Amino acid sequence: MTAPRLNFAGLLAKYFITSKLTLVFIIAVALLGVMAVLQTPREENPQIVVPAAAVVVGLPGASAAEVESLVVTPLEGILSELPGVDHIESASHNSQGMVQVQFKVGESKEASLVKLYDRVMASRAWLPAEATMPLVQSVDADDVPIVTFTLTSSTYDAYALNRVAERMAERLRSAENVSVVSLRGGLHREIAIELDPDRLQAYGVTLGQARAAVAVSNLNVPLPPTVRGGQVQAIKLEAAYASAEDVRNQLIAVHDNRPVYVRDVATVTDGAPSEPAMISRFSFGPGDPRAGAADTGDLPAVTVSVAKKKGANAVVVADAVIKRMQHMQATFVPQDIQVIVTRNDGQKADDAVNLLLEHLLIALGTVGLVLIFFLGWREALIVMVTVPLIMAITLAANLLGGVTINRVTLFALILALGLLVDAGIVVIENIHRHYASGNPKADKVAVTILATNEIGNATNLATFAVMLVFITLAVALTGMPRQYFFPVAVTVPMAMAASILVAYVVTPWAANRWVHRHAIRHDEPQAESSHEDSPPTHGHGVPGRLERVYLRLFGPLQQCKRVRIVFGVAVLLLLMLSTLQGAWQFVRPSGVGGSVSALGVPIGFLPKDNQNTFNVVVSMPETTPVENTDRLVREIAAVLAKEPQVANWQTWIGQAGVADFNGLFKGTAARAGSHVAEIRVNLVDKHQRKQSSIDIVRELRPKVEAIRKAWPGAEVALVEQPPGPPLRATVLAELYGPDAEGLRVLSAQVRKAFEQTYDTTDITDSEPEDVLEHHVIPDKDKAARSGVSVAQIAEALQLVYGGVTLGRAHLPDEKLPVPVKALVPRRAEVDPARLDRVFVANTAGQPVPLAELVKVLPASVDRPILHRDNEKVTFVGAELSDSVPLYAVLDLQRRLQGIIAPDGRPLRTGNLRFKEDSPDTIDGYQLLWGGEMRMTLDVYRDLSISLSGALLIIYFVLVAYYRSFIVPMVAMSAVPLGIIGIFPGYWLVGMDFSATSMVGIVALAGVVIRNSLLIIDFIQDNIRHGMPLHEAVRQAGAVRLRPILLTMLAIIFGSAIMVTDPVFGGLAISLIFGTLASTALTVFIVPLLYELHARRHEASTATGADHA
Amino acid sequence: MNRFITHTLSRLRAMSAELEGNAHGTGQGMRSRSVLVLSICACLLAACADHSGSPASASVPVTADVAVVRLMQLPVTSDVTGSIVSDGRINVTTRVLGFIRQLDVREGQPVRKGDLLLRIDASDIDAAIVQAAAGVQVAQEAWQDAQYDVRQNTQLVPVGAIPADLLRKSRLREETTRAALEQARAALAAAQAQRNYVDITSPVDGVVVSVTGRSGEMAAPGAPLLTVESREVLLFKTFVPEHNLAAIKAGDSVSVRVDALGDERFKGRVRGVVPSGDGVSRRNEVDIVLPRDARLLPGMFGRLEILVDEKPVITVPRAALVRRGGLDGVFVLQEGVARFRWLRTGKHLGDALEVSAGLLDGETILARATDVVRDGTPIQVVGSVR
Repeated sequence: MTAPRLNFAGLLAKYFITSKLTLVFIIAVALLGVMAVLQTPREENPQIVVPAAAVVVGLPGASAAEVESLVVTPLEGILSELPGVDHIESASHNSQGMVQVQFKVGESKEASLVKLYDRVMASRAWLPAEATMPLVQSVDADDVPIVTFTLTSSTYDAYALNRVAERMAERLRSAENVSVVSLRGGLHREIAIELDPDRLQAYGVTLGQARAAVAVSNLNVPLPPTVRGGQVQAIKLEAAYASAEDVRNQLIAVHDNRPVYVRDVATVTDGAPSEPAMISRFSFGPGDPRAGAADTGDLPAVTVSVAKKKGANAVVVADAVIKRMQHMQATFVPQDIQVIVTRNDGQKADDAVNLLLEHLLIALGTVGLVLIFFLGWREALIVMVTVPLIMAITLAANLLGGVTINRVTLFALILALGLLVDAGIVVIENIHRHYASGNPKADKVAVTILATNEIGNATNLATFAVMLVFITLAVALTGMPRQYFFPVAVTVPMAMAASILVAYVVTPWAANRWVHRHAIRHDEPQAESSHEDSPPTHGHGVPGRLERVYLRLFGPLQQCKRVRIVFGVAVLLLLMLSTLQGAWQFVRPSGVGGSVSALGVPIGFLPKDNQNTFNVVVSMPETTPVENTDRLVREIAAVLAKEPQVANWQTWIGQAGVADFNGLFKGTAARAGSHVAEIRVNLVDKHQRKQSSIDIVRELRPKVEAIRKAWPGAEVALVEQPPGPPLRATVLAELYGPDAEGLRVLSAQVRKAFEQTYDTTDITDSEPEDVLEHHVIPDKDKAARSGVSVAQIAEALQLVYGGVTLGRAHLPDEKLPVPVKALVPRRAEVDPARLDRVFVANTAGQPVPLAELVKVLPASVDRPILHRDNEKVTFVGAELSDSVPLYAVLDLQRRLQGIIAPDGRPLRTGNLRFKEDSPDTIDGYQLLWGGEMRMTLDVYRDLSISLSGALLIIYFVLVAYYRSFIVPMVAMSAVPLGIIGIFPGYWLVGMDFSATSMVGIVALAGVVIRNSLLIIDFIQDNIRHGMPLHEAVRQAGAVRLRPILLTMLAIIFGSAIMVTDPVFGGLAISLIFGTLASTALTVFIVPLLYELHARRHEASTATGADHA
Repeated sequence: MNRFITHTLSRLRAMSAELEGNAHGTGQGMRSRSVLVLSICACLLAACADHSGSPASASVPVTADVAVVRLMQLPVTSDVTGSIVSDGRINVTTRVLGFIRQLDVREGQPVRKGDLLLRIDASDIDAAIVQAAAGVQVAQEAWQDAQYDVRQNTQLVPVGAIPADLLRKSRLREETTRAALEQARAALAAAQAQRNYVDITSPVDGVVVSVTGRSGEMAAPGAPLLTVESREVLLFKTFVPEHNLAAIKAGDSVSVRVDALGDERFKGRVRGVVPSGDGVSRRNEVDIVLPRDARLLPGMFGRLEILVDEKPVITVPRAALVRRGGLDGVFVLQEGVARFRWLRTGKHLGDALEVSAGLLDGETILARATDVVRDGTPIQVVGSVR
């Protein structure tokens, strides 16, 4: 045998085939893989870095409009100058403005914040002199707690629990990689002086006097040391309160020669505040065995939450924290305090990763079985051994590249599995064929190298095509989806590259060692099957049954034009019908709104996932007192208590719960106030429950809605953790306009339209309820004549409403500051409209009733002014319980487009194109669609770009390879054929077409082109060996049928395990049904098209020759 | 060879059949699998439910009184504080200068009109009386002598025994001596009158509220020795801010609440608004005549409730209020089950509490909650709903 010039594949094979290094390579790679699996941080979902920060500037006493024009607008202008800023949102409240800057997804967090700080500090001069120092707070996803545990007890109250929790939190801070440890839900100790205005009046003491007397008596002052008797001795004034008793016995005035003590005019309490504004409670649900016993519902709760440091492995940190927690529980936490882990993202990530690793193994096993059937166990085994090596290399590369092990990475690996065995299969199959048919006296090593070398270029090309497809994914995707799908775009090409390397390095070496040439001869069926795979150059084998069936079907198509036409029309019809399944909703006569038609496939973004937890976010009208909020929450809790799948829930009244990633970006995490509440519901673990969280939530919605209806203006949202990037709302209308009042009117209109839309739930808007405000206006003239200053009036009012912290009690063994607070309790509440019971002392010491000095006018609280991207905005949002946002938005768009806006001009709508629109209010009011719709459009746009980019590049590469413009098109005809299978596939499975489906199509393109490449390669090879075109086409189809089926089955069985996953199921369905349909048709259509093309080419060259 | 192919093919078919099955629907496929999981779960759950359900169903209903919450019109008042003062307050002083010989009354001692309060040492007055009496005697003697002279001279003058001029002079002496007698008598009466001021008696029915003099002390006229307060009329004296003055006029009936008597209200009558106000504190004095009541004592702290408005409020009995998990609230009866409701309570209105948020008109609450009642406890109502 003459030694041909070896290509890359041949060279690698030659070098490694007998080298000891191969073994070293295998062992090294295996070790690397083990290390990568153990070392790489695990996450449930890839971390999406969205640098964001809030700049808060106070302008005391300024109205919202003033804040807007003096602080917020200039600040917005300055901040929009920053490069890398995506959106700027702001809210101007009374006395305070807040600007939120959201950087583009993927911008470096540190760099962005430094830039921001720099700009904000430099802009200090632009702000009014009395404005406070701008406070920059970064919204950091790393600070989102990964573990929370709740202390609850039927015997201890929230204050006692808090004390225990403090001790526990202290001990957790020292654990490795723990970042923020915080407590939530507890009550803090305070010494409250509950002043009684009537008693004060009776004793002739004013609020101000009482306050001053207490405030100035609480002092500890270290003094300079003195020297006595030759020794330095320290001096210290000690007058600070060391107990509530001290406060009680504080003299505040002398009235009629009689001393007046604090105890005479006030009730002094020590402990948790008697009038809490925010509380948290915990209840066990029916899904927990502890429920049902006495005292398992409605218990006071304190939650300790722990965040991890950036880059740390959530699984490890969570384990360490929980271990410490259990140790503390065993040592110093009282027996009747229960500690319940209410969030464990580490466990969640670990479960998800382990499950997927298991799935990966199952997929590997299934593919292995397929290979054994087709290749024989020895060859199959070699291929199967290469797979872990490829994965090891990929994971190690991920570790080095900073890609964590998460669901997306593992799905990428499962996806890659079907593809990466291919390189190994091709190599081993060719070696096998050479062993079988080559000269038995030829050197085995040389034959192996030759075999590897022979398929080298084609394999490289096919693999390169697949890699290209996935790399375009990384290039084309933008925003949050890019971060989400990035692991796919990195892992798959990496795995493909590794598969080639391993196929050329390990496979020839292994084949050389373990596949016996003579063995084939002894093994009859094996030999025969190998004969069938042999290309015609080495003589034809008798066609097998499969091939015979194929040829019988292919014959008529090849010979009879009419059959060809019927077949062609049928394929086109199928293609159209399949496409129509996706498109029907848009074109059907009943309109785009409403439920999906019987055969339709809805087109969505990312489906929801089966989770172990969901949130109930309650937002009452702003005028709601916390007690009423609590009441609604209790009513919802009563519904939860009947749900068998609910393990436990924790309610948060007057505040949001412990932040999660979703809440952080939805803006629900930072809410506080008497009208907000949240219920975090933990379900029974998903492996032990029949119903998915999606169904549970769907069933709960009407029940909760029934309760909510009794509370006009209340908004209750059941929020499930989205599988992908978090969004403000699924359907979101951003209303821009020149005038706040107009926006309010428009917002109500749009909200109504939302309510009339099919399947919308949890409708929210950003227009707050008007809150009555009492404006206390001092009569300055009268006040001056009475010898009272406005500052004194302010001081008295502060005491009466809300109270004033006068200082801190110096209590032994107290680890947190204990404030001494003077306040007027509710039982002595003063009507703001009537201030005659509040006295201030004038310069002569006489008490003057406040009512005589002020006028009280009713007004309403300044409404916050919201901006987005420098324009006034208001939001209306909704969730969809069962359908996809695309239809709802299009339906709404149809109804809202051109309605008359408050300025008399038609409302302009936008942001439904592939390019994001910027708000513009020059021509009046504008509605831009945001939320999931925007992201859906972005993702579909990016994926379409990716797909077309990939196809274009592949086309160019193929043009270069085949030196023809038409042949690559024939090869690529396989791609649209995939569509025929895809939509019926979704319909059969009952899933939505989603963004992952789109990724699946992109992957599909790479796979099916590879099949047609192999067919065309063989046809051309056959022709080159002198076969007539007619026969060459037939033979190529028949011979390639088996390897193509093998590849197809590998992909199908490899991906099948993904179908059950709600998120990546889409990818699997695209791939499985697309491959199935495409492969089934490709084996007929590609040879046919090639033949037609070749005939015409022949004819044209013939006529061309005739003419010449 | 053929056998193997057949074998392979059948395997392949089986596989594709399996695949078709899979494809059919993770919908149906999944469903059938979930049926299995479901039944297992159901069994487990049933076990759970039995376990957890038993204590709930076994929990005996607690019997309790209930009350229906009603919206009530509550007067909105503006409270001004003041003190009870007595309208008849008498400072007792002496008219005569002298040592206090007897002073037996003590502070707080009730006295009736005419009761002896104190006695001034009267010895110098007695001496003066004797002296005056002697003066009368002297004057009497002188007048009788002058009368005799006049009688004698009257007889002698017509006979010319003495000159007429002598008669005229004797008549003149008689008149002067008579005047001197009158004077002496008046002096005696004056001296005797002094004697009356020595015993000081109570001018009114009332209470001795302060005693400043002591026995043996020199009592000087004008210096108060003790104070007696009349109980006949008690006033509530208060200072009303200007803006509430319009609501008050003389003769109005108002209610005054006295803290010391457990917030009891007393109906009073406005006697008058003192027209001159305090220019600094912007308040005018208002006097209110209080009804007679033995419990009312001058100096007591009280509040005048000026009715300004009426507002509807929800109240709950104080006994219904419970504290659960650090929150004050009541148990509301809903479908036979007690549900805890957090309340925002306001003013204390006697036995009731104002509720500013958390309850609605017409809801039924447990009138008295015991410790056994928890959220979700079934309740058996005793008695009729109030």
